[in-house]
Amino acid sequence: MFRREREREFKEFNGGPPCGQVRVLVVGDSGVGKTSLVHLIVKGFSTACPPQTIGCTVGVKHTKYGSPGSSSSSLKGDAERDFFIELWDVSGHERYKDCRSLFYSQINGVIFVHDLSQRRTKTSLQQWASEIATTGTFSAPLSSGGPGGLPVPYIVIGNKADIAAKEGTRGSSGNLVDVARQWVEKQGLLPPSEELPLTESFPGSGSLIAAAKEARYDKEGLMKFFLDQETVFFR
Amino acid sequence: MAWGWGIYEGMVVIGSLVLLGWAGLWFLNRRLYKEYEEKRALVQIIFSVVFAFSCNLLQLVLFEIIPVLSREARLINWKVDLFCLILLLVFMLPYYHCYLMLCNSGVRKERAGLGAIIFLLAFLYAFWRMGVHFPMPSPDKGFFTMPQLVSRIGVVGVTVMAVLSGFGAVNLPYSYLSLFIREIDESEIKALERQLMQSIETCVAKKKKIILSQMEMERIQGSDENLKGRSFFKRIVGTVVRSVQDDQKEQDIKILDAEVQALEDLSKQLFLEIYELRQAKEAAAYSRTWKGHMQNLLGYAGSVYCVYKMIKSLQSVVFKEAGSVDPVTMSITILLQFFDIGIDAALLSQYISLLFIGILITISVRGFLTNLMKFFFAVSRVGSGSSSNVVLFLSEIMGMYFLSSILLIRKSLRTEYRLIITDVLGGDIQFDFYHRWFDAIFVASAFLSLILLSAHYTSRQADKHPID
Repeated sequence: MFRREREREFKEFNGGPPCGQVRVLVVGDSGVGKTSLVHLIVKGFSTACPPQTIGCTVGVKHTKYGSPGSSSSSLKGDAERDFFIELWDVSGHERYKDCRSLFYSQINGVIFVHDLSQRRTKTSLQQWASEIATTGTFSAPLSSGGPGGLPVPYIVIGNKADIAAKEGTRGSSGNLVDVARQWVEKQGLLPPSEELPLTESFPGSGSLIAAAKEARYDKEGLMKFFLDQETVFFR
Repeated sequence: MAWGWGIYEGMVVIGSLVLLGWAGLWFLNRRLYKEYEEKRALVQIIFSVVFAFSCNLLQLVLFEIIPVLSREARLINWKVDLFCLILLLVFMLPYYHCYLMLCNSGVRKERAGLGAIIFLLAFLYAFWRMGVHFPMPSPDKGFFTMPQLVSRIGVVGVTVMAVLSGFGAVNLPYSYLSLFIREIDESEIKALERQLMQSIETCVAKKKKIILSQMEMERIQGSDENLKGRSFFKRIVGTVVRSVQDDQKEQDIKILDAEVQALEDLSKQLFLEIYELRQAKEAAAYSRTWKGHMQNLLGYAGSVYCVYKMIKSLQSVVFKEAGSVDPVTMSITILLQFFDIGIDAALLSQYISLLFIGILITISVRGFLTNLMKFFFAVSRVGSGSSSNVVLFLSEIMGMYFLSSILLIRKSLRTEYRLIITDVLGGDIQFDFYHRWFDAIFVASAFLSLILLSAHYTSRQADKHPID
């Protein structure tokens, strides 16, 4: 009697289709909050003061694809598939620059993170994009290249909105040299630094942009973004 | 006429101060703060002000040699500069530093101010008592006059200078000489990288297993509620069986958690090793370029100089010599002995003095700032401690360092240029004591770094060729 129950459970557990996997890089300058972001996505609550990331830590989130309400249904066959989203949180430190390239393998997408209270972190995202585009390998790359030649979808997340709001002026910092530089740029004496272009190019990402404008964490929108990208991969 | 001249001089002084302050700010924000950004403008301003005043002192020494401003202006400049610097170093910085620390740990502002004042009084008392052990101007000359304060600051500053010089003198040949550079094979790095990726993939696979087990447990607990309709006996049996299975699953999850943790630690270690190997490989590649060969030669020269300096310092400490002939005059007299060129010795000595002192100042400032950066990055790697505290502490050290370099540089100046320093600092200061103190600490620091670096080198060699 017990044996039969156990056997049934065993079959149910192992009889399902194998789980797919999606590998997403989380990159950005040191201290912008990548580890906290990954922790928030994976566990659902935030952690205070995580230690500095050395090398790379991976957070895994399980999700089901094909749930009702999904925007596209071009996946043939089964109604629901399990997916594991691997979030590769790479150390953003300047000195590990040459050692990081081994983590950029078989990437499906990239999350760029910057700190809203430190403007410098946003302008360095362009360099991050070119670094990944030149040294990384991608699975299922898109034909059209993004910024710096990045052939996979990406989203840009601005972190620490509460601190930036407290400071008053959004996008500036207490760094006096940067303040001076911004003033000079405003007068037109220096060309403005390049930033990553932001477009609503992926279907269904409108809710994310709205959430970004209101500075709130839209978990459903984020999950939908990941799942919508999978239609691209399995077309 | 005098008015215009005065305004011109004032503008020169203020202009150079502002320029130096801007340079300090630039250094702080572009070099030191590569990773963090300082939010408090006051900390940045304090650093740049201390930097400006300190460099101004050195600039004034140069102005002595090539008379840029009139004598009165220079004297006033000296006095004002010293006064401001000492005020900052002894009174303002300790107070603000303590106030900031208390504010950061959550104490209210008024209480933090009170605590900071108490700390300042304690600091001043300790500062005063420290002078008992060293030859200082006697207390009947007053308590907080300039010579008293400068002599005490001098002790701290000279100690810092000697420690840094000692370490630098040994470290320079060690890092420049190609003897100590080891060759790294690319295959070594590739093997480690493969190992790292493997451990990360295993870690990810285990995490997925944990998630699946947790989902399974939740599913079972969810289906518990559906069993209310079954018979009593079956329910009891069901709960026993399920709790055994649950325990087993929880144990499995715990074991997997521990394994994941171990794998993450392992990947951190591997990554750090890969980083070190890459650094070593870059150093080895650099040593093969022509720049690297020059560096090698510099290393040999540096080691010769280091040995010479150590012997000289030991000699001066043991035999208590008080040589007061500065090197420039000495070298010129030697030159004139061999070559009778007929150039005006005074003019020549002035230019050579300028060159020599200029090089000395540049090397000392640059060396100090490089060490500052290294220290700052080392502390930041530990991760703890706010950067404001480190910057304030470093400002204090920097002010004391530059002030004491004035004390020591006096020996390298010709007699006519020394006068103003002796005048401004007060004639009671025993300058010879500071030189002997410097030499003693220099020798001690050089020996210690020698021991440290040789231990580091032998441990690395042992790693490379492990004894089976």
